[in-house]
Amino acid sequence: MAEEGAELIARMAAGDRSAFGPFYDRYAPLVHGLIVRIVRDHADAAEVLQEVFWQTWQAAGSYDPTRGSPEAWLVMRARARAIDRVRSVRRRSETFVAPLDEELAPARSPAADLAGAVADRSIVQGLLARLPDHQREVIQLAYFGGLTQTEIAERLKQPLGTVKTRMRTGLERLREALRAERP
Amino acid sequence: MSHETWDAQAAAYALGALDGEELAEFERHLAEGCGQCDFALAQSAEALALLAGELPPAPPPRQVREALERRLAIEQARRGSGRHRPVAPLAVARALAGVSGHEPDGRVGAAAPARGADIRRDAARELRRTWWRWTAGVAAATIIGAFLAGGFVTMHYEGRLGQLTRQALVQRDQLRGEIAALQAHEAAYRDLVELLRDPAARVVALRGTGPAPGARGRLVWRDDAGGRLLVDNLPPAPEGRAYEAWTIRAGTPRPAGVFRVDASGNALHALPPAPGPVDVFAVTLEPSAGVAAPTGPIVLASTR
Repeated sequence: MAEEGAELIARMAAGDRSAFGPFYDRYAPLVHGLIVRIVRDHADAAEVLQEVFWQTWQAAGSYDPTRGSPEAWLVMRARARAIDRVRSVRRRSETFVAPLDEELAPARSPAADLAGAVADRSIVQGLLARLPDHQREVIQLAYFGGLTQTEIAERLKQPLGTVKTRMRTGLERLREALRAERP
Repeated sequence: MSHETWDAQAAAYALGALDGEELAEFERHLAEGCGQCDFALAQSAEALALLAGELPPAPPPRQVREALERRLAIEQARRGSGRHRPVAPLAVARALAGVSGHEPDGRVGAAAPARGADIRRDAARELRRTWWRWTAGVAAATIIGAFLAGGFVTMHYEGRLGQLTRQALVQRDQLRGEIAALQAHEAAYRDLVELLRDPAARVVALRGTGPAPGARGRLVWRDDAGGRLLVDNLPPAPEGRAYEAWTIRAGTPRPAGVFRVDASGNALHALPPAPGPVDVFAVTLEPSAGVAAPTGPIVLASTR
């Protein structure tokens, strides 16, 4: 599986357009799921999805299969772009008068979503479900919410050191779970 | 500092949560090369990809794939139009048509032989015969003339038609090339605007040096996404030469693509992403195929 994905990326790096379709079909559901989870707004998510794949096509040469799986490479890029979008939306909503549409405003503001994110049952399962609540919370706020460690500390009213420790131990547990899954 | 601190920073960094001075500090640490942190980050990336895989599936909208296919086609057209060579349509069409200007000769000699005037009947008969011959000659000449003229007309118009068709085809190809070039242009500017909108992108000024002191460059750059370089007032490269962009990190230049400037000294060039933070951006004059390490004079460089 992973070899095949890496092969598609190698063909794209060589300028082989025919590799792009299969590559997109294979990874777009995973990438889109993550983007939707982060940006929430479906129109925004579609734009970010397009940008992620377009940049993947252009930057296919920078993928190094010895450094990680295609999934990890793509997910990292997608997450970064999605968080950029969320942060720019947040900045815009702080700079400009809040939109009149009260229905849209909470959906577009990730801050408003964060409290809900913790209670989002659909993701509190699998790997995350195995984490203690306080670790899961910081990982969700950082990874899906795009908050920095300082922002998380302020939000949870916890010392920065505590947030850091929770993030580290939480991530270590996820890595242990990964080792169990892919020995 | 024990590695314990880096471990905590690596975790926050993997989650995209590291900020402020700590972020700069950790990126310096990574740039210096740390196998332990590289490993931890790679493992974290795999674990987080697994986490992403556990999210509820979201079927991607169909128009995204279609839009991407269009962008790919436009990109390919742009690559193709780079090789589009100029043609002199009329000269080529005339040479192909091969129309000559000769006129058919319709004149026929019709002199009747002289006869004795004493034999009137003979003379009258002869006169009739002569008249008939003359008439036949004229008719034949007319028919031949008409045939030749028809042939000429047909040939002329067929030639003209072929010429028009060829002109139309040449113009169609030129228009197709121009449309593809415009679409590519539009896509390039759209990419530039997207990049400018990106809060993580920075704008770098490049100044003309050595052979091109009047040249100016502005680069919108993002480490993981590459950048778009806008060049002004750079003289077009001489025959067989082109400009090549470089991303320089720790004194080592990495090729970032070959580009040409238009007659007015402008260019818009896309730079591929660099594997890490870039210290200096530069442009040199190189052989048109580009080189792996700079050999020519630096014409533009970023100021630190």
